[in-house]
Amino acid sequence: MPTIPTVTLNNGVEMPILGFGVFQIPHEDTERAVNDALSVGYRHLDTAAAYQNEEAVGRAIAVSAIPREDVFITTKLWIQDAPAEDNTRRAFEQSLTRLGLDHLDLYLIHSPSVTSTASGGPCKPCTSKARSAPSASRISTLTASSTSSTITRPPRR
Amino acid sequence: MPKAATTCSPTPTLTEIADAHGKSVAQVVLRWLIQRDVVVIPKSVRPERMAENLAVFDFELTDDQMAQVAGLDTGESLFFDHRDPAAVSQLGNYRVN
Repeated sequence: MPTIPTVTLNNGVEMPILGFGVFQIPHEDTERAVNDALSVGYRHLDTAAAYQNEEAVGRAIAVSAIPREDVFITTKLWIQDAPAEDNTRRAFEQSLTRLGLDHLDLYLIHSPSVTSTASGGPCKPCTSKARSAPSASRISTLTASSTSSTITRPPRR
Repeated sequence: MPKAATTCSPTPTLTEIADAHGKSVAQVVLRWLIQRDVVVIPKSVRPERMAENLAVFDFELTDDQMAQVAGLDTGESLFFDHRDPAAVSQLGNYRVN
């Protein structure tokens, strides 16, 4: 089974440079697809609350014999569901519950450029809430996805 | 939710590069991204395609090939354009819970 090279994120966390995506996999096929991916050698799974398949991903992880520390798991906060600060923590807990995990390797703010509030959006309060919540120790890395390169810095090798 | 493109039509450039390495166009595309330090997360429901997407660490694109692929950029997105107000508005009104 090949060892997948990693990139080093700005906080020192190692992230496999190739992972398995589950966006647009039919819900009824997701658990089997993740099982197959793990069997083939994937060690990085990418899902999101917005994909509505975190439970299926979680089931596949649960039946896998692969140690948790050997799989890099990412999910994403759909910020349109978290306009109030406390909703961020609730969304995070819901994702962990659906995935059946006690911590994430990467928690992304999904499409933070898309907002519907005149104040500039919920990005800042939901970020600060995610960082300050007691559950923050259960996130290795917190950043944003589907956004411009001016907000995030590229990883280093 | 907006649908992502399910195909990226192979161009002669991509096909030639793929043939030169004995790889598929999809593998060349993934390799081009990986050599630019982009973390890739390909999706598939077929185990053989999953394995194919994973088999991209045993070859390397030359600087010239990297430039050839970069030269294919049209400046337009194949599926969701974050700069399109209508698309962003649709996404902004989507609720999960």
